[in-house]
Amino acid sequence: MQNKAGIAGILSIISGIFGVLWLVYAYFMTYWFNFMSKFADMHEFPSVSVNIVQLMSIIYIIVGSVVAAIGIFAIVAGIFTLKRKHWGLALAGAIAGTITFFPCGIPAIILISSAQNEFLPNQKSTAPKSAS
Amino acid sequence: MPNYARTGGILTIISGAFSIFGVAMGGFYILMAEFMKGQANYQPVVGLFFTIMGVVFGLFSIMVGALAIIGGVFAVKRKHWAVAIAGAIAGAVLFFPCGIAGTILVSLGRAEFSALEGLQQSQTTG
Repeated sequence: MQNKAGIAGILSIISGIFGVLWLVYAYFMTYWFNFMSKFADMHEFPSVSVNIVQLMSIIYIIVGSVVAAIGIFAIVAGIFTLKRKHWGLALAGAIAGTITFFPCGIPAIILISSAQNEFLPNQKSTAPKSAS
Repeated sequence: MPNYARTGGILTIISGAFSIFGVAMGGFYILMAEFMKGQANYQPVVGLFFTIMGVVFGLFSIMVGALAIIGGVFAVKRKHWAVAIAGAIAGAVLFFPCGIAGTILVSLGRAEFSALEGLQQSQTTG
């Protein structure tokens, strides 16, 4: 049997990690905006409005949180892909991974789509039990 | 036999058609640069920047759109799976929802490509 699902799962997890890194980036940018605001006040540069700094920070945190949530979903789906369970969820996770990191998400989608038969043996093994 | 490749191809062609918006955006940048020339306090560097942005954006959209449409046509004809999947990925760059669906369907329909090629080979040999 080919190991397409294994590779796809790793790619999904990598995409998901990039998504979670967006939240780290958002927190860094929030810290950076506050630092720039204080720096401008201390060195008599044209001061930046506190409201604009707060608004920018809130926007970054919201966007970062949404992308991080998508990334966590991609990571969970990547784990399911590695275990070869729930093909639909695995594919949804790969699509989510495409949003967070396109170069890894696209190969993951292609590999999961073509590895559909790798997910089948578990379903076949449960089928006789449910029939009996 | 399921008809994944054909559906994927149509979705890819639709994504490729969205490149017209990219071309329009490029044209808008160039028009903006021309409009700025007549204004007071005109900075030539800014005008040049907008012109270059417009040309690059327009050419990129044309090339990616052409790849998506060619890939979509190949997917509909069930020929050259690699070109078809490249076109579907290009379609995902232009218009995400249709392009992703096209990528999934072209991937799922890979067997349809090889089945058709096998049929054609058997017809030529037989």
